[in-house]
Order: sequence, then C-alpha cells, then structure tokens
Amino acid sequence: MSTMVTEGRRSSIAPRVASYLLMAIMAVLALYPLVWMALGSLKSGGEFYTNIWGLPADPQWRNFPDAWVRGGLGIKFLNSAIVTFGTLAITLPVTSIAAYAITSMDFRGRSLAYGALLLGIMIPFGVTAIPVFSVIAQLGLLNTRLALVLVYSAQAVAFSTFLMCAFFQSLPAEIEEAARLEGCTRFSAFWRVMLPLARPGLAAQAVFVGTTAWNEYFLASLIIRDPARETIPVGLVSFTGRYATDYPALFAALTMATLPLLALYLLAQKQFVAGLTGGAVKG
Amino acid sequence: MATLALSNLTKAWSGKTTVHGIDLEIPDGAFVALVGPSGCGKSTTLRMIAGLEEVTAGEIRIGDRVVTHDEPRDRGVSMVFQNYALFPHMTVRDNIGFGLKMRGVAKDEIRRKVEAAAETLELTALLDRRPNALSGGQRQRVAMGRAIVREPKAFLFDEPLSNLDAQLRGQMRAELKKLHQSIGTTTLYVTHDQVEAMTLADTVVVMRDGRIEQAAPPAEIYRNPATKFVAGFVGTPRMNFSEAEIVDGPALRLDRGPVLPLPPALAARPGMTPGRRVTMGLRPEHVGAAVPGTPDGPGIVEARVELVETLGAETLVHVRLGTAPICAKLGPFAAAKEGETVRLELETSEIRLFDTETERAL
Repeated sequence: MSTMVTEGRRSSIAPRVASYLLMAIMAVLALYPLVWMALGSLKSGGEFYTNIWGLPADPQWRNFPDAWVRGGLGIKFLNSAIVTFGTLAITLPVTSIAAYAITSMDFRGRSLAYGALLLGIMIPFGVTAIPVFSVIAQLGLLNTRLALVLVYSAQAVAFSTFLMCAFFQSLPAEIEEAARLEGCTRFSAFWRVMLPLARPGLAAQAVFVGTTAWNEYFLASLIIRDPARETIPVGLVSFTGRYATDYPALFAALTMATLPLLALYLLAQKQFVAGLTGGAVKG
Repeated sequence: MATLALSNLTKAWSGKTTVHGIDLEIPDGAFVALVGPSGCGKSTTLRMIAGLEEVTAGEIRIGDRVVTHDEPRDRGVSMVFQNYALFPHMTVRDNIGFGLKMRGVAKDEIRRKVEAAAETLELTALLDRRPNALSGGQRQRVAMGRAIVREPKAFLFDEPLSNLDAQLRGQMRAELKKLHQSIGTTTLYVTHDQVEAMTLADTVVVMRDGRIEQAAPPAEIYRNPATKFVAGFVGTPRMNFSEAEIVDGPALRLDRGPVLPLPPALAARPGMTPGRRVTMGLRPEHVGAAVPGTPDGPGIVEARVELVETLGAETLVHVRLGTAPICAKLGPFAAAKEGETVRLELETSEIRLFDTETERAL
C-alpha cells in the first residue's frame, strides 16, 4: 500500500519537476543575453575580451555617463520617446475604436474590413519599405520624427486592431447593450464601459507597439539624416567602428536603452498577460 | 408606467423570418410572461422592444409614443439580462446609479435613490463591492436594482433566473413577485421555464416558431390550451396525448384502445361526427388509481405498468392505452410495480380534444 502511495507521489512529482526544469531553461535562454549585456557594460575594454562570460573584476560604472555623453543619448532618448509616445497616441485610440466598430456594429463590409486586417498583418514590412519611403519623400516628411510616428502607427494598426478585436469579442455583448439601455450612446458605451474593460488589451498593445517603435532601426535609418533627430537604435550605431567597436560603451548604451522598455513591461505585466490570454476561453 | 403594444411586429434575418407579425398589448402595470422553447422568437421579440434588434416590420408603442426605431436609451425601459450584464469595473453603487448618472441626475439624488433601491433589495452592505465579489443571487439583485432605480416605463426580463441554482431560483422568483406587487411597473418577462411563467405572470404568452400560440391567464392556459402545442408545453409531466376517433354516442375510441365517454360540453360541439379523427389530451393528474371495488364503467381502464417514477410527493406511473403512452400521477409512494396490471380511473370530464390537422382545440 505504502509502496503504491510512494509510486503515485513520484509519478505526480516527475512531470512537475520536468516542467520546472523546462521553464528554468527557457528563463535562462531569455534572460542570459540581458544579463550578459549588463555585465559587459561594466567591464573595461580590455577585460571585455579577456573575460567574456564572467563577472566584471572591477565594475566600470563610468561606462554609463561616458556612453551617455559620447553617444549624445539624451537627445536620442527624447527622440525615441517622442516617436514611441506619438505612435501610441495614434495607435491606441484608432485601433480601439476600429476594433469596437468591427466587433459590435453591424455594417456592410465588416467582414472585408476584418479580412483586410489579416492581410495587413501578413505583408512583411521589407516589401513596402521603398513605397513607404517614396510616399514620405513626396509628403516632404523626410528627416522628421512625424514621418516615423505615421509609418510606425500605420504598421501597428493591423495587428493592434486584430488584438483588440479578439479582446472586445471576449466581452459579453450584453454589457454594452446594458450600457446603451442605461442611457449611453454607442460612443459613450465604448468610452465609459467597454474601453475600461479592455484595459488588458490596451496594455498588451502598448507593450507590443511601444517596443516595436522604440527598437525600430531600418526605417529610422532611412528617413532620419539629422543626428539631432536620430532615435536610439540609429544612435547606437555610432559606437561601432569600421575597425573596432567599443563594446562596453555600446553595452552600457544598450542597457540604458532597454531600461524604459523593462519598466513599461513591468508596469503593464499583469494587464499584459491578461491581454494576451483574453478571449482564449469563453467568459 | 405605461402600456406596451406590439403591432404586426416582424423580424427577418437574411430573408428568414423569425418573428411573424406579432400583435400583443400589455396593459399598464401588468406582468406578462413570454414563454416557449428555444428558438421560438421570444428573446428576439424582447430585444426588439428594447431597441437592441432592428425591427423588420411593424410597430412598437410604449405608452402613447411609437418607439419602433428609437435608440434603446430613449425608450424608457430597463432590462435585466440572463448573465446580469453588470459593469465589472464599477462598484454595486456605481452599477445601480449608472443610468441616473447618464441622465444627468444630481449626485445627491442619485445617492438617495441608489440607497433606497439597495435597501429594498437588501444590498446596502454590498454597495461598495465589485460584482466579482458577489454571489449569483446578489448579482441578480444588483441587476434588478439597476433596473428599478430609474423608474422606467416598463421592465424587460430576459431569462433572469436561469443562471441560478434551483433553490435560489425559487427564492428569487418569490422576490420578483413581491417586487412587482410593490412597484407595479409594466413587465415583460421572457423565460423557457413554464413554472416561472405560470407563477409570476398575470398573462402567459406561449410562442412557437415566431408566432403567438396563445395569450391568456395562467389558469386558462393550463385548463383550456388553445392548441396541442400549448397543452404539451405547459404542465409537468406534459399532457397525455392519444390519437382517437369519434364514435357513436358521441364517444371517443382511442387507437386500439378503450372507448371513453365525451364530456357533454365537447359532445355538443358541432362536427363531432362519427369517424372524425381527433387527438385526445388528458393531464396526468386526471388519470388516477381506481378505488378498489369500483365496478367497471366509463373511464375505468386496465393497463400494464411500464415504468414507475417515485418522486416523493407523487408517483408517476407510465402505462400504455392502445397505442398511446399514458402517464398517471398517483399519490406518494403508490403501490405500483413494473409489469403489473393496474386499474386506472380517467377523469373523462377533463378530456381535451384537438383537431388532428390544425392541432387547434375543439
């Protein structure tokens, strides 16, 4: 009897241990590059090459102010913040309203609009880079942050609307109907009732869109020429030389560039996870 | 409060008509239950009245105003949904007061009315909780509080008790009845539960396939169903049916079964000519055990027991008369066993007849 109990316990523990082991491996895979970057940012130029994987023998904290000054990161942080928040300021309201309309209103072409969203997600950005550049040039927006805001927003609309559609679909239609019976117009039902309930979806969207806009390099390097308008990913290139790269300084700059995203994610973490799983099961 | 009148109300979805020109007038202060099986159009009708579904044709009048194409907020009705539809991000207080706030009522007035409604519904202690911290019954009461606080012209209930367990449902049913008696607002109540319909409503409207089969007080619906469908839908266990033929007398011969006398009122009806095919209906409570020693006679039959269901307060005995399965509702723990022959007494005065073709009552 006791043998059976022990065996039963063992068989229930084994899968749990395996799953924890798997999660630990995944966590190491995900976190190690970050840790390696942070450790590398505290090494001297010489130590970086002699002690690639280990802890810094003598932490070089001055790498951070040096990188900040040398890379002119202050203005680049500001530019990236303007572009990221500008993109979010357009994307969040536009996609929320669009998703609400697609999910809760019955209008001709609704399926077509939804299909167009999927098409928008499927087209890779590289394919549209040249036409986008051409349009930006024709609009006279080359070398402006507004161009980045508009293009990043346009790129984000399809996926973000799709994400929000899934979120609104997971909310019971009766909640919106109750709001309309209680005195709301369509818009006030959206604003006062549905949008607050879609907060996890908004948080997930903010993390996705914000991260993409903050990290985007290719288009920013095409459109922005003036160093005073460069965003961080473009500015980081200045740390790499033709013959030598100052890795500790680059890593210090990268670490600083990563911090706002980490902060954004940690702030929105709870909502973010709820947003990703929202609509997965019937409420 | 107001009368609620539907005239030729029709709903079609991509060419398929689901509600066929309903006419119904609900007097001021009445409690009317719309009842019927799933897909009969009762909820669609309610949602058209609320303004949540477009009306394909016809007219809806609330009080003296035609509201057919008005926005839901302009109709002056409150609705309680099956899943409560409370706003999860608001407290009970905010949920109940939401409609008043949207209508620009002063904050003090909102507080006073919300607290009064909460007291009526015994929600005072829960006013600062969120819906996810409430039980199903409490949520339902909040939904009712939200409905009554605005003092609407009419209440619309869409299967409001179907998410509750049986015990709570019975309790809430009684509370709903008391609430209606105290505030007297015109109420339209959709349910598929005939017990709710029969116990709550002044008038029961039975729907089938988008049409009204019968609209009448509960007792009338039960005693004199207008169609075979209504007779079968209302009452548990359902009414017994048997195909039969009018024979000389006039009397009734069940298919391959006994001959039963017809009640005088039915026998006197025109068209009761020998050879006519009809459907006989008789409720299980009108099929009883014959008192021992009762001589053979009209309405006394013998049948073999096929199944016995002991329910405590009553015993359901299933037999076969001719070709028809018949259920008899006998007293508690009646001595009947499967395979035995029992003597039953049919209350022939309670027989109902339906036309075989049209299924309408004769």
